[in-house]
Amino acid sequence: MTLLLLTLLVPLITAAAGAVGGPRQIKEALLISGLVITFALCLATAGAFLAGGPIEQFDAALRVDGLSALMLVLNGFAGLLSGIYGVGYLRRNEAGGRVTPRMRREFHALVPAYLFALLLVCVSNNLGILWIAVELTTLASVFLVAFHNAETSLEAAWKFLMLGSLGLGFALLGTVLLFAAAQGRLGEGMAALNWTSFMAAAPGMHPFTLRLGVVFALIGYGTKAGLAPMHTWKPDAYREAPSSAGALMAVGMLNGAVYCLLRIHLISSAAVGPEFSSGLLLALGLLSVLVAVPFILIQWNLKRLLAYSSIEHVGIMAIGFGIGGEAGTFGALLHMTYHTFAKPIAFFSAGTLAQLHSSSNFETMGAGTIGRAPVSSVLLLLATVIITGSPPFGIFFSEMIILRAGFSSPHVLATAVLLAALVVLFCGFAYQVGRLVLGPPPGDGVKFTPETLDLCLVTAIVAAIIAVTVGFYMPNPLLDLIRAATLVTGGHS
Amino acid sequence: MFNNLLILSAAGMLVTGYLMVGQKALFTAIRLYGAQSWLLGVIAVAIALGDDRPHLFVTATLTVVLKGLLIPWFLMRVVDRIGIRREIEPFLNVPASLLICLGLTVVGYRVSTGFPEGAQGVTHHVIGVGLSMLLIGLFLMVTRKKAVTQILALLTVENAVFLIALGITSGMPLVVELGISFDVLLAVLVLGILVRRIVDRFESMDVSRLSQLKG
Amino acid sequence: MIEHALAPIGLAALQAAAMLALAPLLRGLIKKMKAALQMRQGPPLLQVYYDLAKLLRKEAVRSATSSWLYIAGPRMYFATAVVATTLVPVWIAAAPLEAAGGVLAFVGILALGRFFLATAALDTGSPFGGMGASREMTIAALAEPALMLGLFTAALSAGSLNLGALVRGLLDRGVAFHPSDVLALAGLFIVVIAETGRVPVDNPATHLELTMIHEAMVLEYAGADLALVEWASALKELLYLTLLADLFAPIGIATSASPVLLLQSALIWAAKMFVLALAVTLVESTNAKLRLFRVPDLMAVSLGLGFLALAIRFL
Repeated sequence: MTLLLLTLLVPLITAAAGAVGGPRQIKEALLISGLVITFALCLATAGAFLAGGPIEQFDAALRVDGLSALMLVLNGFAGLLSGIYGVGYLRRNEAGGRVTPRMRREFHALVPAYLFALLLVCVSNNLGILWIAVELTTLASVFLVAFHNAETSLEAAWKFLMLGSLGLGFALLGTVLLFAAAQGRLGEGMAALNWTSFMAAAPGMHPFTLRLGVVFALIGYGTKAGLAPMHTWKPDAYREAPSSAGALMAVGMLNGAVYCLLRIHLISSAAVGPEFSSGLLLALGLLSVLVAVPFILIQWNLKRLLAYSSIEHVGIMAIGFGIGGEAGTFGALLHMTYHTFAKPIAFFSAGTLAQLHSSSNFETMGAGTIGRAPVSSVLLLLATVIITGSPPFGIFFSEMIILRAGFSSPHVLATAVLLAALVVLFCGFAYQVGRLVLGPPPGDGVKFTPETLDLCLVTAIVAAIIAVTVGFYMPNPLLDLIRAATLVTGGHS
Repeated sequence: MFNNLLILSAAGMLVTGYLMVGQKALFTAIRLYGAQSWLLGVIAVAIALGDDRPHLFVTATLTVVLKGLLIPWFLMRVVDRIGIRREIEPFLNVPASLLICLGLTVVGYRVSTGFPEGAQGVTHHVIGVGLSMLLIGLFLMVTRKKAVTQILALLTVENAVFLIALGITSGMPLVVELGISFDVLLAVLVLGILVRRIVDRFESMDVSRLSQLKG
Repeated sequence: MIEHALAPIGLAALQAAAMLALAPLLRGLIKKMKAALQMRQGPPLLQVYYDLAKLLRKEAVRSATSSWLYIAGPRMYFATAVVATTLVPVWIAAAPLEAAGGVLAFVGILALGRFFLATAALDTGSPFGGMGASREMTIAALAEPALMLGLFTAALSAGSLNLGALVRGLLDRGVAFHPSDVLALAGLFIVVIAETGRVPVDNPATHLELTMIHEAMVLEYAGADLALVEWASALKELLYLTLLADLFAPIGIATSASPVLLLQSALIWAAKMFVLALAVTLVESTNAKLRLFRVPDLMAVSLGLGFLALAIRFL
């Protein structure tokens, strides 16, 4: 039983255990310990990679290289945080009577299952298994979105599943076309669909089929990442899903989808040169960032605000990868790392605020939450500052690196547009959150529950501490992982 | 001989697609999808025999059983249990929809001429039909209001992808195809559960009513 | 290339007579098949013959306020159907009067018959007649382009608009399918359903005011007039199904006038008619009749398929 297999099996077992009924304490302990062990295994696998090079399993159907190792660590971390917050979330909701035992079992089963699928995505070398894993993430998260079974939850879940399945259909077609483009050069059996086989066969691929396949695959996986114009499911899904699931989706699924995009991008670059897919990524990324602008400036709901922020960030990452070269890719990967640490804080604090006020609408919550829920409000402010890219926090540096790479590349105009958009987004996001947190409290009192220092809050605080620390001091192994990922991804300029 | 069977079945699939566009009754639409999947199975068998690729027999059986029998049966049960009116009111009326689908088919065929080896002859038609059905399925998803019809449109897109896969490759590895097929089945099950929940909540399968979330 | 050495007119009369004799049998067969599907015995196979004989014996009641059109209607309908029969190759790969006209003549002659029947329906001044006529014409206006598109597609693949030459061309080409054939077949099948007035377009057995189309037109007729109309309708049915078989499955048609080949061709034709009758029965039994304003949708589908068939020929 290798490390890699264990890393995948543990969340699966945790999910199975979560589906069974039982006393609350034991279930919580099971979930948290399962997630802790998973994260530890992810770290161990990454460490094994750093020590000994790529790890392979099942005839290279699963493979851990630099990119995979980084993703494993990031997603494992996100899963752990989300799980702990989720436990606190359920406790809070149970106090309010909104969670039935069946919903509790659903949650305990779905979150580790979701994590399992996400981890599977990150270590898939086989494009077929990659597709299946992404489909599994969709199926696991659909019921998380529909968790509260309200009218809006079902609407969000429906849109999410429809668009997600359509995107996956496109991605499947893209995979098929890529397979066809490389026919005859790929070998036999399962290994024919391996990414490594594709990379080896890349130079001889049929250009038209390849291009068509890349377009379909990028659109398909881009739908899962939330790139515009396939982003319409995101605001609804993020708003309706419980915040812990939302955090996992915003971070884990985003990372996973970007992983898929990168694998396709690399095949394309190896076959017809980087300009084609880079151009596509740049276009999609720029569009995402631009689409986010008006919806952040004019927004009525806190969690949808976070969704558009997520769209903005995946756009920045896509632009970074599109700009390419060592600098652009390093910047984008760094961005992904900092984003993984920072986004959960936003979701957790926003989630707490929404729960305390029984709504995530700005109007219902009323301004001046700092008076009513000081800790969460401060955390939300902190998260805003970090996410919008203020120095001296990490995202500022990653954005700087991307912008610099962009200005020294031929894509100067696109980079200039990005810069302008970032500025506007900074203002907009800060305005919205600032208004909510710091504004004058509404005259006629707001209905809210007082804040208590429960597990959710503790998790949020811990997440904030970790994020700030990593912003200032990146541990060397993590930096090594990012460098190794850059090596895999940014080999072309 | 197999060529003719291939062309017959592929064209038959396109016909079912068009009939679905003009179809108002849910049960018939589900049956059309079932027929489409059967034809897909026939195509797989034809290629298995004509090109000597025995593992496509398994694919054919899988397609027929899962998509030709199980999924239509499941969807009919969903529609039955829900017991809603079986009419579909699309956003675009039938003649206009047909015109657009005509245009989409022409586009699909044009694109299919860019493919290599066997682009002329059989494969050209199979891929042309596949791409056209992809576009038609997409169009159906956008213009139909009832949840079950949207599911059928999605399944049509999946069928189209399978058809293109059959026509353009020598077949994907079997394990992968198995996984994909079961994934599709799972997705349909999940969709069915969602539809039930939606109907419980909204008392209608009309997903155009799901429009509270905006902005 | 076969040429009829004998007088074409004689052969035309022979073919028309044979088809006339066989047409009621097809109707009876479809009724029997429908009954079988509905788990009943149904009327005997030869029932339509008995009905025709009964009608011919009865007195033809004519309205005093109607004109010569009322009498001419059924007769023109019958005559045009018979003439159209001579333009279509049935058991041999040539039509008796093919030199006189092809696809367009075929469609036009049948349209002429329908025109006369419709005007005759208006002639009586009864509301049913007018209603039936207008409904029938609406459907025909949509069905005819679809019919022509389907025929043109077949003509394209065989290289001629003349039905006899078309069939010969198809036989020469051999069995080589093109997707446009399937699409054209689907479109034409829908047209045939519409033209023969069957479910889901029209219910041939209904006499309810809201649901009649063809029946409304002929509601006033009795005796010999009605017999002529019914016979002509049956003949048209047989003709359309034969046309379908000719265009899309012409194998087995005799290519020369040898008796053995002719007999074989006749038997194969009978088999094709059986299969097509079965198809029609299945469509009738598994579909509900469409509401009147939904029928244009169905015809639009048929038209669309026809256009598509034509377009794909060129792609």
